Amino acid sequence: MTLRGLRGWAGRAARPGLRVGGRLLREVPALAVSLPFLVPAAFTFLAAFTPTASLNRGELGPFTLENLRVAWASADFPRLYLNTLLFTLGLLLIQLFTVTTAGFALAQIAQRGRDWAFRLVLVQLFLPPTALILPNFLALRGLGLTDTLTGLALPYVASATGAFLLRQGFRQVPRELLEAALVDGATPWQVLTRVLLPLVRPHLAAFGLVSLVYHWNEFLWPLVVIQSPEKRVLSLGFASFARSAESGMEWGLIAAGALLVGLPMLLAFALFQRAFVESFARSGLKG
Amino acid sequence: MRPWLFLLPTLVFLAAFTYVPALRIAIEGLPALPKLLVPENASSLRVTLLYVLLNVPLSILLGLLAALALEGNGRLRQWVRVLVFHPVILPTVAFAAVFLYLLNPLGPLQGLLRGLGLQNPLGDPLGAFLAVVLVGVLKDAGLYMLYYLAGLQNIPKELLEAAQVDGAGRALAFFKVTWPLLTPTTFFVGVMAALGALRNVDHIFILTKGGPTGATDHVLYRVYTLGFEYFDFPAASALSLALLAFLGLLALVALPRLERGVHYDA
Amino acid sequence: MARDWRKQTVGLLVALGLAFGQKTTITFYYPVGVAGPLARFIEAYVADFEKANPDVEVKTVFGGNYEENQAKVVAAIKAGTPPDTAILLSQQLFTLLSMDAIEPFDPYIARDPELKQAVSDFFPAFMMNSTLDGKVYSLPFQRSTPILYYNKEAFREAGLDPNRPPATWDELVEYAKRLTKRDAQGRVVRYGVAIPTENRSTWLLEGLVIQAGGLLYDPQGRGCKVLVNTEPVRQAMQFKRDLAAVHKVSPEGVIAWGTTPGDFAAGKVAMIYHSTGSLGFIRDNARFEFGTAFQPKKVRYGVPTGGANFYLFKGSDPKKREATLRFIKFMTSPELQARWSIDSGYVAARRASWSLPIMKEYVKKWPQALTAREQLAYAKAELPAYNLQQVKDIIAEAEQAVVLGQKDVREVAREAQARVDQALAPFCSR
Repeated sequence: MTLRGLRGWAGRAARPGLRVGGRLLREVPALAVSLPFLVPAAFTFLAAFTPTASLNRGELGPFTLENLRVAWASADFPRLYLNTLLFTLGLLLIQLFTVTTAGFALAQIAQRGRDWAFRLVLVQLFLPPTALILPNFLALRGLGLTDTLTGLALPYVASATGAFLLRQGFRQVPRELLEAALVDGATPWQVLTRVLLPLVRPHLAAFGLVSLVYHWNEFLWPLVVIQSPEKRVLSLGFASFARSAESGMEWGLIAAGALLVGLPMLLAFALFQRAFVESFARSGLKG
Repeated sequence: MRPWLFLLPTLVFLAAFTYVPALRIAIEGLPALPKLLVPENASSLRVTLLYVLLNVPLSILLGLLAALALEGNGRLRQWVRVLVFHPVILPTVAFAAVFLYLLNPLGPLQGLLRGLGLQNPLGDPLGAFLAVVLVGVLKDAGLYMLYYLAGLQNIPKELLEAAQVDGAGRALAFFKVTWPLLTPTTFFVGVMAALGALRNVDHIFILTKGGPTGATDHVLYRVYTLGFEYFDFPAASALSLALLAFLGLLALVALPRLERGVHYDA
Repeated sequence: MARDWRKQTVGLLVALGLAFGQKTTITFYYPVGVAGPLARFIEAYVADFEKANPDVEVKTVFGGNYEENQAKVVAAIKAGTPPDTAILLSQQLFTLLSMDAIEPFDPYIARDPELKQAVSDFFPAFMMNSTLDGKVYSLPFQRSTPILYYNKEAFREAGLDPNRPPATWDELVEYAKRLTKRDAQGRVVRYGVAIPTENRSTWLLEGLVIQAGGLLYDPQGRGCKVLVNTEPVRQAMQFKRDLAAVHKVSPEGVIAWGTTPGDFAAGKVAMIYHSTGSLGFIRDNARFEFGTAFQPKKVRYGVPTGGANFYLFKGSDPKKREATLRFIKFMTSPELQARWSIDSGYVAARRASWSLPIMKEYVKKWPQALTAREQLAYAKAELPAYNLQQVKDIIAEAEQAVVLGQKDVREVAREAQARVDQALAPFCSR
């Protein structure tokens, strides 16, 4: 059935009396999309409350809080949350500045230089992250910043992903708008903060979320940089109890740990996701 | 001149943590380039190519479909969005472990897997490769959905309404209005997905460690193996250098061409 | 007498150190290989050590799993800041030597009777990977061996004597056939046996090779002679293949290491080969009576040892070195080894640990823990080689090709031998 046909069908079904069915029908695409994600999500959630022994037999339940208790006791979670928040939010704050300026620059630089500037930034994504670990670690060592959250964040202050995303956002801003703003005698900084930022808010929001999530879970780089137990981040704490190279997989414990690690981000996403779909960016652009 | 000034903060940090390390990698890797000519690398390259070819279109498509299906503020859509995004949020170890559980030949999907002729997916070269692609797609799609949702915001509603008033159906409105206006996003997502398929392979560490018999030995996993398990840093650098050169060249040739199809003005 | 003198000196040094308010700080990297709060246990031991030694501060650094911890140590070496001590695979001796990163314990053993006593009290099998040219390069901490786990209930059900586990490969196959259970449609509901083929590891294969009368390396080869193209290796690989392909008593394809204990605990496999380190997991998860036994022999019993040891790194000053040795002695003491064994499931590496009351009580409750200790009499050193991980990868891949039926075992063994020799050449052609 084509989308058009589906819509017609849904429209007809939306007559009084059939409204509920119609609404459900309109959500068919949403439900279809959810399917492949439902299985792992449901499993993780239920496994967190199920003993590993039951899971190994293919059973869910009897439900228990034991996995969560063991996971919580296996690492210093309050400190892990605090360090991870400091690291990810601190970094994001600086990044919001660097990616906005860089994105603006990449959109505004005159035609010829633009492509080169763009590639220059994109180089960051051409190197395997694992290959950068040792050189960057040596660089941090030179700066005396190993075993610090600052050192952990430094290599990410410049973000090609963010600059690229914001470039796309800025390039969609109609030139007339920019020119009008410049004619008004505003400085570039004023143009950026008062005129442009509001226009790329969805992009900034998307980038912010991606940055948070990526650094929230990053493992290998923190593993190399961080030494002191009191500076560990969540990913390290999680790895310290959820992996079992030598013995059997502790499904319940892994799921419970994942829930403890991921819950704050899930909640943040659930709360802030409106930013991506609200219509604030849709108005005032054209017409 | 001014715009370059805005780029300065980024360039300074790139210099310290990308360009200088890249130079170090080049110096260390250049003499080791001949070391790359071993069958393992050839097979790894083949695996990587196949992985990218499958992962990129599938994850973009799933991301786009999710964004189109889940745009709007309905309660259900909000929850489904959380669902689609959750693999991005959970530690990769945990998300991949779910599939270790589900794909266990003696696990809960035993009957289904047998029916598909994949009794022991992770213990079989083809099955393991497909599993790695599947998990990769599910992990990345949420991210691309997010970018598309942001991109959809830049499409003036008036245009869509106008198109529909003109009598175009939804499908037609999509191809006439939405898709062209999404091209800046698609360009971005496409480039990010291609690079992502070459960078985000943490799930391989958990699911297959590159096996069985090298069937999932993605080039990035190989860089890790060479550097941090064989401690052959020259070889790891050489492989990184080759990747850098390849992607640099691709960016030089392909990016401008690709961008010609992008409509920045609504 | 001598001991008293030593104690007094240490006491004096401690008092002096405290008087000047100086603490010696040492860095200690450790891996975690078993799920659960092991990192917390280690940190608790360190805290106990610090309480007893107020002049020493131990910086504990969590390094991920074995491979990641090794990577982290190497990164630290490259940055010119090696740790004072780290727990790394006992097999990594040659890799660490090739980096010129470690020092032997011998000068300190000669000076310190307590250390000397400790070295002679470790199970000899656990010291095999530590010694080279008569020098001791590492001391055992978290050690294990692979054993056979079997489901006693399934044994009874199949009419087998639950107190008589299979003793030979032939018996293993015969038992496995009787233990394999099929439903009405002929689908297997319980396999007889599962021997994992872990990606990138040769541990279980090594055991089979030893049982077939061979060894994966030449003991006189100084990390340079790895033997793949031999009859015992071919037999071991083919045996694994045949369990599924010929005898149909084992799941097809490469069997994953991580999910195998769970499958055993769920009753889906009646016998498995796995680490002693999984004893705790199986104990907590199986709802039936289970036994542990030596792995069956072909021509002889035998398994490789496994696990990780304390190493001493170059570049430590005498004061730090003294504190480091005190710390290592504490962590390898009979009392702590017993505690660690009970907490983690590893085999207590000191003989004296096993006569301590807590250990006796534990063994009374879980006699299965004894199997690993007794099997040590037949254990061999685990594959020692330069360029270790690459060598292991080549052999594991060859093994997988046989298990998957991709190639003939003779061809595979020949090719793997050539590749292994090539991987060793840069380190060994001196």
